Amino acid sequence: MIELNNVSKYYPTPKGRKYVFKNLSFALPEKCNIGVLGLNGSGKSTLLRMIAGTDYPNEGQINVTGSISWPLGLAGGTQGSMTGRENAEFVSRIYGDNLDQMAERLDYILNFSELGDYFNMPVKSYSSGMRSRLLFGISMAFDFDVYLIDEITAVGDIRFRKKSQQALHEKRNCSNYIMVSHNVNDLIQECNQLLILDKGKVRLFSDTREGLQFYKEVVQLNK
Amino acid sequence: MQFRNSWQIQRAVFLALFIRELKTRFGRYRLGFFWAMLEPIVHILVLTTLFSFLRDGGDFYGIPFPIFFGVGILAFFIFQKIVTGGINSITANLGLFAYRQVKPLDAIVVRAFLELLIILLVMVFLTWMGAWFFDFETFPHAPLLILLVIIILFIFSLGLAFITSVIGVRYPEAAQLINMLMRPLYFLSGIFFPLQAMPEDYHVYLLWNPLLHAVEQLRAGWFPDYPADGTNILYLFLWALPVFFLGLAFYRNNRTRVLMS
Repeated sequence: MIELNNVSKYYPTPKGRKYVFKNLSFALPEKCNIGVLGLNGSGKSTLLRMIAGTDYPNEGQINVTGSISWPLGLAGGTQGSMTGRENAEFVSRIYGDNLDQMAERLDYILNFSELGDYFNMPVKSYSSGMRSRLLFGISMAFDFDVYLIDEITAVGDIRFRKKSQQALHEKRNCSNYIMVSHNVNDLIQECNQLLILDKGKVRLFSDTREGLQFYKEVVQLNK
Repeated sequence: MQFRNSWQIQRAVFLALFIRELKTRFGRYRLGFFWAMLEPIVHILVLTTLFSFLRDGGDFYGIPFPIFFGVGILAFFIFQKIVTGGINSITANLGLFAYRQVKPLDAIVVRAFLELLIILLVMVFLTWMGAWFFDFETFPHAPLLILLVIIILFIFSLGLAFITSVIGVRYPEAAQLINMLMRPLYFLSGIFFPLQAMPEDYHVYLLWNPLLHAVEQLRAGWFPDYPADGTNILYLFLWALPVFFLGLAFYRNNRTRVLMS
């Protein structure tokens, strides 16, 4: 369950507080895939980070039950001086694996990410595609209740993109995701609900067509 | 995913960060411990050489120079390594805070703990070496007092590390200042002089410095009949506790800003 309670988020600027969200309260429905739409700067990533627990609201609370992945596709998640293997080991450790589980997990990650020899090289020597392959591989090695995904499918070549979608599909029975994307077609295909952010307000649509219609109006108004 | 309680999660994070820090410290050429040993030894050698010209006898109160300086240096290093090590502890792990259970606080605590552990190891090793090299009882005569001093010194240093870690992220230029402040502190903390060897008039001023109390009390725990008059643990503790909580408050106030930059 993900529930926002009177959440406000702002950034201090010389001209005063710049609000991203103001007194936001809503609960995200369980057991469905949620697509998040919004114009640039509408706070999609901020919302994702706050749900992920790596950013905090200035006011209000976010209550979360169940396991939630780290935000995929955003910056962070790897430490450049560590090798891909060390990064994977680190994640495995913070989720409490014992050595057998870790070995199993590392096998899967190496296999999935297709990094080969690069797996034992520092992540700072990776291309951005390799880095996201590693991170996506790590996250797929675990079974989270909810995956937070920020434009992940836009990264990597077509073949890997297909593979990632396939992996997500296979988790359908145990996992759901919240996905930020500008690719409206993807969202319509994959998601049962649409969350649309506009000027610090949030609207949730259980009918994706209706949501899309609303989003188009938002885009028109901001032209 | 199986349910874990808070303590299990915290322990897993500490362990993961500890191994991560250990690898960067000792990973590449496995020379880390050698360097950690070398630094205090160089300090001891330089001070001993210098003081053998300045002072007759080669000892303070029957304690040979190298051992006398050694205890002071190691006490000061606990403070210095933790406080200056704190400066980079957040930036060096920035990528790992994307995981919700890993917080900057964990990284600061783990790094401070590792620094302490290294110095304790060096301490044991040098004590053993000193006993073998000098014809002198180097084993501490009051180990409990030493333990107490080290624990309080650790709390004091960790409190400051919370502050320096935030400064390291938000005001990198000011972080240089912290390194610069270490030098005068080195001279004022009684590393190469016992308080009683200083003119009485200056005691009032020197005794403001809590590190002097730590160094002198550590010696009092190490050597029997060491005249540590005027210094006491309580004074160190009365610094350590407020500094620790002030550090925590300062960190909490900045915990979001630290992650944004």
